[in-house]
Amino acid sequence: MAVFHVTPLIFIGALVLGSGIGVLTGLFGVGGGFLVTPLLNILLGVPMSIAVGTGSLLTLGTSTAGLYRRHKEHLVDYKLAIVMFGGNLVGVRLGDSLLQSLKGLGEIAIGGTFLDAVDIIPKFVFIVLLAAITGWILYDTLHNTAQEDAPVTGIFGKIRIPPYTNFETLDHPRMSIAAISYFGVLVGFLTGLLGIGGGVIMMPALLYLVGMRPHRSSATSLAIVFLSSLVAVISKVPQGDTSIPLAIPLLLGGTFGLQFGVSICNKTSGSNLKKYFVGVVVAAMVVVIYNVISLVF
Amino acid sequence: MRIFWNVLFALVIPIGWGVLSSWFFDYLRTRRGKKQDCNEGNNV
Repeated sequence: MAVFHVTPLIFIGALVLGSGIGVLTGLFGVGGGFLVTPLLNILLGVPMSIAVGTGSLLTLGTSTAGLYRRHKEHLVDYKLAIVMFGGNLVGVRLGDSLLQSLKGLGEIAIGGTFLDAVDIIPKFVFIVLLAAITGWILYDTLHNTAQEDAPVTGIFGKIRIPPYTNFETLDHPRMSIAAISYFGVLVGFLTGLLGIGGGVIMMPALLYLVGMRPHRSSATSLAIVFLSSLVAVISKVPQGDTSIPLAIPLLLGGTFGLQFGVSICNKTSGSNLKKYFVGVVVAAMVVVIYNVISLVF
Repeated sequence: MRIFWNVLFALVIPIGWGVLSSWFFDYLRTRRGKKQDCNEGNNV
C-alpha cells in the first residue's frame, strides 16, 4: 500500500470527485477511470501511479454497489458479460504487449517537441475512437426515427459464425458466441493499450453492436466493469500503487453518487440516455486532448 | 503473505462498502415505501 497524506482539503475534494464519478457509473455503467485518474492528479495533486491504483478501488466499489441494485432490477445479462469478459482478459494482455513494444519506437517529433511514442500514440488512438463513438451516437440520434419500443437488432445479430447461443435479454436473442468473445478481445486490446477500464467503449458497443436496450446496456456494462476492476485491483495492489486513506472519501462519495445516478437513469428514456452519454464521451475527449496539449507545450 | 493480505484488504474494502451501502439504501427505500403505504391506508 502506498503512503499518501490525505489533508482535509484532499478529503473533501475526493468526496466531491467520487460523487461525480458515482453519478456517471450509475447512469451509464462506466467506471470513470478515464476521468478520475487525471482529475485526482491535476486537481488534488495525487501522484499518477497512486491515482491509477486508487481509482481502480473506486471503480470496484461503485460497480459493486451498482451491480447489487441492477441485479435486483433484473437488468444485468451475466451470460453476455462473462462471454465478453473472457475475450477481454486475452485482449488486455495483447494491448499491454503492444504498449511494451511501442516503448522500443523511441521518440517522435510533434510541433518541434520530441515525445515518447508510447505516451502519444495511444492518446491519438483514444481521441479518434472517442470521436468515432460521438459521431456514431449523434448520427443515430438524428437519423433513427424508430419507436422507443421497436425491436433492436445489433450488427452482431447479423454475423453468422457458429457456435451460437441465446441471450434472453436481447430482442433478437440468438447470437454468435465467437463474435461476442472476439469483440471482447478487441475491447480488451484497446483497454490494455489505452490504460482505461473500457466502460466508455462497452456501453455504445452493447447498444449498437450487440443490440441491447440502453438501460440493459448500462447495467451489463457495469458487470463487465466490475470484473475488469477486480482484475485491476489484484494486479495493482502488489505494486504498492493504492492508498486506502484516499480511497475512503472516494468510495463514500462514489456510492452515494451512484444511487443518485441509477435513480436518474431509471427515470430517463433510452433515447435521452444515449444523448447524455455523448456528454461523457466528449468530456473524456477533452481530458485526453488536454493531456496531449500539456505534453506538447 | 503480506501481499496476499494487502490484496484481500484492498478487495474487501470496496466490495464490502459497495454491498453495505447498497443494502442500506435498499432498506431506506423499502421503509419509505412502507411508510407511504401506511399513510395512504390511514387516509382511506
